[in-house]
Amino acid sequence: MLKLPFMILRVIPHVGSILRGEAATDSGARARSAGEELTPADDQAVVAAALAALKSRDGGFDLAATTRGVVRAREVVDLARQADDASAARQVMSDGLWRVFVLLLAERAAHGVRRHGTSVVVGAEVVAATRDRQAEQLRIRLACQGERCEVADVVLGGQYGQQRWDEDWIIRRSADATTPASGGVLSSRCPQCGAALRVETDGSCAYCRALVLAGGRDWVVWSIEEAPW
Amino acid sequence: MVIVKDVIGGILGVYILAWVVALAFIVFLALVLVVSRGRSDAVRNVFRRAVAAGAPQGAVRTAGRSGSSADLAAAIRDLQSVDPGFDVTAFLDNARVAVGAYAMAHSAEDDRLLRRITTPGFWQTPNGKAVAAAVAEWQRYAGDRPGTTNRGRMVLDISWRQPEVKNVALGDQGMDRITVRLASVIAGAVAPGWRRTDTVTRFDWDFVRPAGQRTDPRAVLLPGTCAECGGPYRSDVDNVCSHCQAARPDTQAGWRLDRMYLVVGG
Repeated sequence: MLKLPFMILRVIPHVGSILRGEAATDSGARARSAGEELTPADDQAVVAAALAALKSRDGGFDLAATTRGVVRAREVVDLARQADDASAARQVMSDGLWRVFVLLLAERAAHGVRRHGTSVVVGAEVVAATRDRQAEQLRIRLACQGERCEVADVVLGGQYGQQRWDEDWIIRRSADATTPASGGVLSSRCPQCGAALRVETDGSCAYCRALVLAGGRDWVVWSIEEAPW
Repeated sequence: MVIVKDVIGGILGVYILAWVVALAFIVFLALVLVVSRGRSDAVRNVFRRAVAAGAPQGAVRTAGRSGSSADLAAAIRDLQSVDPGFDVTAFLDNARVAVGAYAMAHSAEDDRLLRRITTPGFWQTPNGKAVAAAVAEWQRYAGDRPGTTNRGRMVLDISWRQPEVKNVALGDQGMDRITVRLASVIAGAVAPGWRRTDTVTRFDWDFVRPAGQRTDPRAVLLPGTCAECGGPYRSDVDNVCSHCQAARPDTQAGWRLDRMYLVVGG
């Protein structure tokens, strides 16, 4: 207690970095839209028009099959989380997303963090469809139901018991990519050779060695955003 | 006797003054929190702009500073004309690895991956120095005990929102430079009690490579084994092969993180 004021005074030289950190940390409306809540859905008419344009450019595109593929990808990632085995998710995530996933699972394992509960997808809709000269992207909102709870010594996030929440799964591909005849990554097929998808840890197809998860040839799971918990 | 009383009085005075300054500092920080985390965007933006104006050069950037989208598209076309293998999706995907590496360094105080994907210049910037200082503090504490995991801090989740290329500068001082702006959401927790330390922050990330370099698409492949001895890497954050100690190559297709700026306002 006697030393307390001097301990506080030692923080004063760092006030600049404290203020800069605070100024850069989003809060309020911006934080809710940037990170704490899901991005608001685009107007349905705009989404429908974008999907129609996508279909006209890429005759093989099948929205129902794509959505099913995303739901299946979610199951794969969920199982990987439960088993603390990142390699299981290698075949659906983009290269960068997977590398961050590996980091996270290792970090969680080092601290004994476990995810409890299972969940299922009870609804799915495309809430944004965008395209520019470089790439096109779909934001698919999955309505999920079940239990999600992360525990180390204490509950770190979520809660026990049944809940409902939304997750946005964003898939992306190069602007010149079209749906492969085999169905592609979301159908568990290599977009290059059509073989059953088996991705090496370096990100290439085990059969034809093509880069399949860089987004240049086919849709890849590009980002996963969960509503706060 | 009088002198002793004066000395005691002086010490007491200094001590009371220290308390007054410390309490004033705490009140000041509390006011900052109220302003910064209040619901008024207008008040918060005034605070942010004031902080940005007083920040050292190279630490903070105010939002909105970027070229037109037409200029940007033209610059990307120029880049692709000399480097047909360059792909924005693959590039942004690699940028995400830098976000993960930064989160591990900043929130878990493990900078091994960040060291592998940054330029030496990054560590001379204000934000690079801040990360290095935090990691050094932990390493001083950890010493040479086996295992470098900081048991008192952890990263629970890392995600990013709305990534966009904000600027492309080709051949600037012999380097190609691409700036990516994105909001990063880093969910963390600290002991004791695993109190959550989630942050939502926007940064501009500057990636550089020597001008004129071409993308080797296969350079993004993540090697699972050491090219020198063939031994498997244990983790993506390992800088060297644990068997032969050979340095591990970077896998960012030539692009390295050179600077990052906190983005305030906007």
